[in-house]
Amino acid sequence: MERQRGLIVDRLGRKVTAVTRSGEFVIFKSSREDLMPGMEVALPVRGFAAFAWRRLAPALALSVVLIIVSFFGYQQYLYAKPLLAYVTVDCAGSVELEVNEAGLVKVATAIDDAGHDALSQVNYINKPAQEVVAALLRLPNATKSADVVVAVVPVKAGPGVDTLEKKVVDGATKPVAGAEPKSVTSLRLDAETRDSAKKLGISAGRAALWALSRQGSQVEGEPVTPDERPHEAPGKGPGPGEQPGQAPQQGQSGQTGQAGRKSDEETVLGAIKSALPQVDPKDLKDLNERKDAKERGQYLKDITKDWVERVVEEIRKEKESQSAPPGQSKPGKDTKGNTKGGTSMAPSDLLRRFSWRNE
Amino acid sequence: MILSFLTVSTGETVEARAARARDGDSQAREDLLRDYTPFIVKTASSAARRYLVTGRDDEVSVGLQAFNEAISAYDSPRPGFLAFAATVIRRRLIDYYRKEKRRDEVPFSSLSDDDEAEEWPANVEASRSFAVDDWSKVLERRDDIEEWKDVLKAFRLTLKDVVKAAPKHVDARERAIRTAVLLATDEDLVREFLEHKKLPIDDLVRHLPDEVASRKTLERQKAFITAIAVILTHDLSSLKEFLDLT
Repeated sequence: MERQRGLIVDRLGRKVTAVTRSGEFVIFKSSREDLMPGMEVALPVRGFAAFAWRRLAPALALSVVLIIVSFFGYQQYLYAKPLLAYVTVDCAGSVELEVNEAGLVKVATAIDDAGHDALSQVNYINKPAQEVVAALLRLPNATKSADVVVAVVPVKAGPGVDTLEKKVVDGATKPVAGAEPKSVTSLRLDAETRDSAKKLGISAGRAALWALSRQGSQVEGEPVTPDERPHEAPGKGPGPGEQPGQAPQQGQSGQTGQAGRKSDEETVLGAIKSALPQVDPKDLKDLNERKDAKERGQYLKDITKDWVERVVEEIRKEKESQSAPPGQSKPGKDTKGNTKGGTSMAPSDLLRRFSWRNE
Repeated sequence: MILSFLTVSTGETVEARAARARDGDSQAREDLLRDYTPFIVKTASSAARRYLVTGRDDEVSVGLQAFNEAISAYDSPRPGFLAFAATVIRRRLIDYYRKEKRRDEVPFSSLSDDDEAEEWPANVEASRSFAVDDWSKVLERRDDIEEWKDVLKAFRLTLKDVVKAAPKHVDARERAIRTAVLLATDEDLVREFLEHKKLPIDDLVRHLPDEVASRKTLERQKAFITAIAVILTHDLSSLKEFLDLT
């Protein structure tokens, strides 16, 4: 090893300070009792040795650990766990959790303002998904609502998803002091359904539940397509903001100003986002008839996609009718003989088009 | 540990007695050896890590010879003779063990060439055996170092400040040393430096704008440049020689 001469200038216990001929100060520890200031010593040259010790040694140590761990098959513990599934929770607010293979929440996204408020009150990073769900449902706003929709959208198929779903549902059904027991609807959806729901800015679970409630209405014989349902046909329940038995608010529908008309779309989406339809077990008849999980998943995907597309279409139509000058109604009927566009409708009527039932 | 200012019987310091012995007073030398035999045995026992007995163990003889050598070598006006003597005793014991080739019986690893017991930097190798002249050189450097530290105190600096301010890169260090040399060769700057006990950065930048580094760099390296300038202006010859500042 290359060495350079150093002159000891100070000694305090084991700590020795030396200066080299180039003026570099070197501090080292020595147990040698015969070193004193004024003595010359041979110091190794600081260069590659220092670099090697500081940089390469830790890297080498880590490499050795990785190699050994990989050799014995424990590499799974070294790497970050990949994403397993998206879990959406809809109660008071809509939240989507990204859960990894270890069942821990890595990212949480609020889908609406209420969800944002909820997430700000919950510590979710690296927490088990079921704990996060339970914490969300313990929040004051959540305890007021008895309905919960939990949807699992797997990214990676496997038994891990079943375990995750079970744990999350258990977390959701955990009793909360001072609150009514929750009615939990658990759905297994897929990425396409999630993408469809994103078009409306809602969670996959919420979209699927709306779609299911629509299908349930179809099963009971009620006209459910927007074009088949009479405009003022009473639904199963009151519209948003209405009392039972109250007529739809024609005042609102009578507004011809742009501001009033523009609020229809927001009100529709607002109602979809803020309310969860109750799904009667009878509504799930078609779903339950499908014994195969794959078939059920496909069914949910299809009806949700269909429902979302209809909502989007309706909103688009409403926008078009609002863009027309007031008083002018667009003549003509659609293929099913219903009057299209033209007069604006009460928000409750619009919602009823989408088979909204809130019993 | 016996402190150097303690006097034994005669009332004079050990440094004074050593000076008398060095000047040729053989009785003074004998008295010193007799009076400090317990110190010698204790130091040798500590170095050998075992109990030594006078008249039985060779290490005691080695220690006595080393103490005698220290008396001859210690020509420093500064106190610290006993600490110096202890160092000489330990050094001589190292030489003794090496000579006897009894490394496996070495009580502590500091007797190995490679100094494995030391932490960073690894393998600090102390020099070969010291002759009496070598000890004089060591003492001269030690005295210069102590004077250097005393002067730095007057400049309100410690060695720690100097070490901290020393540039890591060799080019930057050379430039800083060159700045100190330039200061020491300019009478006005030296006067300013010694009078106010601080580095005249403004004057340096004004007088030697092309040769010195920026003001910011001078501020950062102030303690180091001051330390080198002190070595040059106070004529600490052994340090100047070692750092090749002559």
